[in-house]
Amino acid sequence: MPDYTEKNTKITFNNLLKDYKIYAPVKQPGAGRLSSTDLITYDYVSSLAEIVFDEKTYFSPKAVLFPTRETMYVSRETMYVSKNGSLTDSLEKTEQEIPITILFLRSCDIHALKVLDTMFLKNGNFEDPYYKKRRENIRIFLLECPEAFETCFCVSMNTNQTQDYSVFLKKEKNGYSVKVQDQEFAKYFPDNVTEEVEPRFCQKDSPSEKTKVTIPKNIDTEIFKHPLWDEYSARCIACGRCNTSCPTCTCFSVQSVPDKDEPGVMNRKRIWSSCQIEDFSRLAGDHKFRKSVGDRMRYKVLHKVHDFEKRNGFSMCVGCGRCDDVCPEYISMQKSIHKINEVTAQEMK
Amino acid sequence: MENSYNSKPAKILNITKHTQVEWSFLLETTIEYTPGQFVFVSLPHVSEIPITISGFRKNAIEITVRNVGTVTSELFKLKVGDAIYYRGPYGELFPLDQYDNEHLLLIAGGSGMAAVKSLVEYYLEYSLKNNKPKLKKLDLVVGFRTPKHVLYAKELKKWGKNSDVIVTVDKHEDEDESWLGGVGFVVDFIKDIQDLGRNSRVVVVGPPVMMTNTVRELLSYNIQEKNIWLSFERHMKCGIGKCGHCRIRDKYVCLDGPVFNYIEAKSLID
Repeated sequence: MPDYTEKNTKITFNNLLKDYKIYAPVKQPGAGRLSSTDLITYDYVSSLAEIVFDEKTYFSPKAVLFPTRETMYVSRETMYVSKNGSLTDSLEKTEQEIPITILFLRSCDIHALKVLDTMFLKNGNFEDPYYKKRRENIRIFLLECPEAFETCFCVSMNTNQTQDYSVFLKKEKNGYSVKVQDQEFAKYFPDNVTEEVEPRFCQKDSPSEKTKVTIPKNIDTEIFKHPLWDEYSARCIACGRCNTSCPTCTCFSVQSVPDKDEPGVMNRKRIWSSCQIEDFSRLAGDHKFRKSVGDRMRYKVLHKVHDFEKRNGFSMCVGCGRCDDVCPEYISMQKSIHKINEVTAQEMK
Repeated sequence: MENSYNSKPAKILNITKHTQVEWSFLLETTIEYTPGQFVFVSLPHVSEIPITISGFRKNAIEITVRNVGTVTSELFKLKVGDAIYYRGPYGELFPLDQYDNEHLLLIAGGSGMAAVKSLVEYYLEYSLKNNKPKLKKLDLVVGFRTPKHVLYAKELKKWGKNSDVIVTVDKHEDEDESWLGGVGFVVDFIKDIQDLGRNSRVVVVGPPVMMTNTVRELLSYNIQEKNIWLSFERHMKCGIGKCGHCRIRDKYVCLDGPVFNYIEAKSLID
C-alpha cells in the first residue's frame, strides 16, 4: 500500500513547489534525436505528473550546477585601457538565479556529484565560487532503479547504491511511498507514513552486457602507442556528445561575449568544453597536442577510469552509459574499457 | 566569499620592445621572487591568458608577451601608465634549494627564455644582493629562430660577463652577417659546456620537440634524470585546476607544474 494517494501526493508536491524549485527527468515530445521520438531530459517541473520515473535521461542533470553557459564577469568599461577599467563578478546574480532546488537523481548521478564537488571545490585547494553557490542550494530526492537500463554498468562501477539523499519518493500503483532522511522535509510529509519504504537498487549491469566491467589499474604510457586507439581514429567524429551528456565532465572554456541588451557591455562567460575537439589543447602559435582522434578518445577514457582515480582515490566514470546512448557512431565506453583490460593483461604476461 | 577568479589592476611601469611581436611589460605588483610561476593576465573587455613571469623587481614583475592572439593583440595597444588586470601567481616554482652550490645549466628555446630569464636574474642579481646561496657555476644556452628573433639581447650580453652564455640561431640569412653567435639547434651546443657531469643541474624550457631532443642528449652525457627540470606550456583557461585543459594524465600543469622534474615529466605524455 502506498503511503500517499495520488491526490495527497499532488498536494504535498504543490507545497514543495511553493518553497523549492524542482529539477527532474521530463519527457519533451518530438524533441528526440531521431524523427518522431521523444527526448527524456532534465528540466524544471511545475507538477508531479511531469516527472518521468522510469526512463533514463539523455542529458545528465549537471547543468543545474554547472550551466552550459554562465557569466563569470561583466565588463562595463568600453575603454579597458583606462586606469579605472573594471570587472564586476556576477556572483550576486548567480545567487539570485538559484533558489533552493530539489534534484531528482538516480544513484549513479548522486555519485557523479562527488566528482563535480572534487573538481570544483577541492582540486588544487581552490574553490569555484559559482559552483559553490549553486551546490549549497541543492537538495536531493532519490529515484530508484529496480533494474539497470540499456548500456548501464553502475554495478561494475560501484555506483548502483547510495545513502546520500534527503527524500526517496517511490511511485506505486495507486500513489506514492516516501522515505524521509532529512528533517528539512519532514513537515511536507506528515505522520501518516506507516512504514518506511526502502529504495531498490539494481544489482546487475545492463542485461545486454554479459561481461562485468573491470576498472584497469596502474596503466602506464605503453598503452598510448597501442593500435587499439586507431579504431577510434577511424570511427569517432569528434563531436563531443559524450562530454555533453556525461554527468562528470567539467571542462570549460572562457569567452567574452557582447551583451545582447546593453551595448558596449561584455560578458565573460564560461562554456562547456570538450576534450574530443581538436582545439581543446591548442596553444598560442597553433601548437596542438593529441592531433589524432584516437588519442583524444584515449585521453578521455583513461581519465574516466584511471587518471582521476589516481589523483582522487575514486573512479570518475559512474557507469551511467549515457556516452554510449548519445554516440552517433555507436562507440561503447564499456567495450573500450574491456579492450584496455585485454591489452594490459597481455602486457602482464 | 573571496572569488578565486578575481583579478586586481596593475599599472604598466615600462614596456621593452624586443622584436615587433615580442614585448616585455613591467607591472606594478607585490608578487615575491618566485621563478617558474605564472600569472593570469586579464583585459576586462577581452579575456584572460596565462603568462610566465619573466622577471622580478622590487614591487614589480615583468611579463614577456608574443603578439599572437586576441588578448595579446589588445595588450600591444597599451601604453605605460595604463592598467591591466592580473591574478596569481600560480604553479610550482623551480626548486631553488636543489641548485645551491651546484653547477646549473639552463637551456632555453625561443619564448622558453622567459621562464629561464627569471632564474638567471635570481642568481646573477637577486641572490648576490640578498646573501642567498650561490651556484658553483652557471651556464646558459639559448636558441632563437633567426637573429631577428633574439629576445633580451642586452641582458644576454650583460650576463655573458659573469657566466658562460651561448646564443645560437637555427639559421641566419646573408644580411645577418653581423651575427656573432652560433648557428644550429641548442642541442648541438651541449658538447661545448665545460664541466658537465652527473651532478650538474639542468633546466630545459622550450617547444616540446626541442625539450625531447635536448633531454635525450643530456641523458647521453650521463646527467641523472632527477637533476633535469622542464617547464611545460599548455592551454589554460583558469590556472586553478578547474577548466581541465592543461591536464596530462593525473596531473594539472597549472597546479602540479608548470615546472616538473624529469622523473615525473617523462611519463607526462599528452
